[in-house]
Amino acid sequence: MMSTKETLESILSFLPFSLWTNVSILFAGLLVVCLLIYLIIKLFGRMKKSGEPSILIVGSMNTGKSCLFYQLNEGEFVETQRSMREQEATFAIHEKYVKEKDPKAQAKKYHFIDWPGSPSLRLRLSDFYPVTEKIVFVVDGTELDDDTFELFYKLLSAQKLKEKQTPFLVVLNKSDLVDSPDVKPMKKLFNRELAQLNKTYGSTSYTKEQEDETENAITQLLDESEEFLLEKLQNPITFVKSSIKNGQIDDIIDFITN
Amino acid sequence: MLDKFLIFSFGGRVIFSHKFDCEIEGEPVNELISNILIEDRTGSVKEYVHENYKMKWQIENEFELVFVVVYQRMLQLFYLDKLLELLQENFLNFAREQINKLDNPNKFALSPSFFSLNKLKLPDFRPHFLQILEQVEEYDKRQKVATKMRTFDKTDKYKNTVTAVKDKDGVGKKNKKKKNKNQNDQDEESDSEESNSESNSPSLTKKKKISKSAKRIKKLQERQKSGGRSPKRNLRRRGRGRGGRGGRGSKSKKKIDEKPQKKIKKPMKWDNTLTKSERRELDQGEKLDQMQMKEISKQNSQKLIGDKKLNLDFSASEGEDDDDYWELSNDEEESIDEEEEEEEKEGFKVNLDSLKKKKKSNETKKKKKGKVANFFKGLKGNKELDEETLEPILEKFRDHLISRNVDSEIAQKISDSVLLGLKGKQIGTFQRVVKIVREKIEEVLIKILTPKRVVNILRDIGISKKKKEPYSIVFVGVNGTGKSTSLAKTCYWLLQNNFTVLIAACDTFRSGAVDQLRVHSNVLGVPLFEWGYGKPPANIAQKAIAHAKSNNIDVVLIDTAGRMQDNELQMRALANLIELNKPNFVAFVGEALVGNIGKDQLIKFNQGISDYSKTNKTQLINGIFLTKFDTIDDKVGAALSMTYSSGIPIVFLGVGQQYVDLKKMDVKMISKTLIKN
Repeated sequence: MMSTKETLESILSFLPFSLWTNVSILFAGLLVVCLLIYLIIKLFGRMKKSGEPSILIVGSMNTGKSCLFYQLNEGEFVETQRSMREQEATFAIHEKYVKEKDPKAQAKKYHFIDWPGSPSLRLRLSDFYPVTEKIVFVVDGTELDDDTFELFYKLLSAQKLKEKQTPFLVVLNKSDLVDSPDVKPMKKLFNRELAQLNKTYGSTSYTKEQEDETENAITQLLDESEEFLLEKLQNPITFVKSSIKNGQIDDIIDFITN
Repeated sequence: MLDKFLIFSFGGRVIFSHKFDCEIEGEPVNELISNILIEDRTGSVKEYVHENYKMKWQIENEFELVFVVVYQRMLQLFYLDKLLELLQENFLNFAREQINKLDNPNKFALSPSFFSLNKLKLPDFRPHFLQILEQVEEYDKRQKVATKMRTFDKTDKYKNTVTAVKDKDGVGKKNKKKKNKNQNDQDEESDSEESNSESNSPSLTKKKKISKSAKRIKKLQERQKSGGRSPKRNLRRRGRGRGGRGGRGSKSKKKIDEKPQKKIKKPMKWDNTLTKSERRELDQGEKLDQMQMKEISKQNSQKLIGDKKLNLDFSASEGEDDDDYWELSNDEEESIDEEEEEEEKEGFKVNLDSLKKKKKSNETKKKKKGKVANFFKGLKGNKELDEETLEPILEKFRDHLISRNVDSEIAQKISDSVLLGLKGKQIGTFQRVVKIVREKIEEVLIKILTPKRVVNILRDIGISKKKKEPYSIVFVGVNGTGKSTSLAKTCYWLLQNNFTVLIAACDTFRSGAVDQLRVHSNVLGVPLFEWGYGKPPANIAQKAIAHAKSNNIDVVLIDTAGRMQDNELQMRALANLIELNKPNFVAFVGEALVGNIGKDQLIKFNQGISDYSKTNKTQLINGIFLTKFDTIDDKVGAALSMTYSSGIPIVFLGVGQQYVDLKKMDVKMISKTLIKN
């Protein structure tokens, strides 16, 4: 019968040092292994989260994006101010808007990203292109500005979105207002404005080559010689009218759930 | 007095809003968010003005909330900072309470998403809000009342005037008059009248009093030659004190008795040979120690509040901990007079008690500031960032930015806003503080450098072309920055994009300027509009634009003479040129080599153009051309300084001396270069 000390010695005989240093080395080794496992689990958890396919809600300032985000989540109009930061959440669309009584459809959760409209915060948007499944582009039909078309063009010309042929839904919000335009005239306006932008982003637009920054680089969508039509682009684009404040967002729900 | 109070999350959801009587015009809070909060300029300003409204705010980083109060621009309300802090604390405790009231409080935890996604529907915060507001406003009112000016009769000076003393004697006088039956009735009346009038209107001038009292003194002296204590001596003394030194009354009395001691002026000691007592004498600051000051301030605040249970320690001195500032303690010693308030206070008592508990726990937490405690806290996963941990890191970043040629003031402002943006934030277990600070700084830099509005010159030219009007671009700047060269590069670029260009030589001052442009125009094949040297540039520009219009030329590029931002005459001439010709785009050409003075140039140019023009709405600088960018390796700070101070976007970078050396600014690259170690 050997004492504990001798058993330990025999077990740890492969290590060159004295008994107690062996024990301490073993202990340290165990600690390191535990730490590594913990780190791996954490990293794995984080990676899994970021890869979720999400629906991106973008647009210019003051168009109703955050409003839409809350309508989908809570089913009612929530007062909002200008967003300072993006909002992400995974939730199922509020039961108020789900037509089918199919329990599966009700329970399906989507990951929504509500991006602020301010141009200063737009640079990081390109980081989310890899996870974007669909894009809801919210437009205020009564107050159109250059920024709307610039942003739309930028999204359309993003390399990653072109490859995946990400579908776009252009929401003409604030349809409850008197001067809110219809879909057809808006389509024409979009074609015109984008055609003009198309010219400015030709190959000669900047003389010195841009070495880096391919994600945010804006390239020409269509050849200048032919007429610019949205139908010619790779991404499917649909136009709908809605009033997010009043909850008339059925078209949007259809787009998300199909 | 206030117009609106809002609590909203970073994501945009309004959590609580209270509108006071008037309707708010426009969207001042949105403007605040766009101009200050998004750009993280919170370090440099404490209040923001937009049209008729002024706003103050408080940011809570831990739960990503912003508390904003909107009020009229003209008002100056000093209690708002305190109000915001109180409301912030109270609101968070209110939320915590609501969670604790539930059956399963562990289901919910206070976090940013708790508020922004409204996980728990909170009851109305309004009654608490109104109560706190009322109390703070009342306290403020009382403060003002307390410091109201005293009327003259209550001052010490009045006590020493003859009339005051006379009023005392008046009582004695009347008694004596009763004794003497040979009284002049008129005198009595006049006396009583005068004493009445004097007591009623102490605003009578001193001289009047002296003359009246002088007369009465004489009369008294005549009457009471025989009797009692002759007031002659005393009166004479008082009279002398009055006339001579102006009211030191009793004090002067003493001095006459004693020998006047001459105060000899001691020579000032300027070296280090002061004794402790001498040093204490020279110290004009607080003569009381901290504890005494605290005592006094507490007494003061208690005196003024009286029956109200709120004990606001407003007058805490600077050296104290911020925690003590907002001690909402429940003083049971003070009695309640009105029964109505009792019920309200019952409800409020709970809040205050819980607040007090939180205060204590906070205090105990902060006592354990040892490094070991922090380490274990870090392991637990709930480390909170505070000024102590952030300050040394921020200092290093500040120095780093300054070494990259960023203006020192701006580096300070950026670090202040980063501090405010990270204070109170909870970080995870294995996250290093340095990394978080670096990410936040990069975020802030990107936000500052990204233009608020997209500048697309080609698109604007297209629009002007449709209207059949020439698009004019004016190049302004100080001497030697590269205006003529930038103009030539721009011309080349426009030609590549199939636009027709006209160059207008409005630099009629510098020798060789027109000839230089003539060479460029010959090489590029572009017409040059010039009128030689010495002619007024504004007129040349006008004629050039007219010429372009009649010949259907798309773009007119106008070159101006270099000028110093401080030279009033030259700035006036520039403002005149811009006002007369109304160019579509005013480009400020600045060099990247410039140091801190670049910001100064830009701001003064902008100001000069607006100040020296005759109309209100003038064209300001639309964009910056940053030249000589190839000469600086990584000292790209000038870009940041210019954009930060003026908000004007950088349109182009000049990266060489050839026609093709014109580049668009890459925001990500510049921000990375600024941070790279």
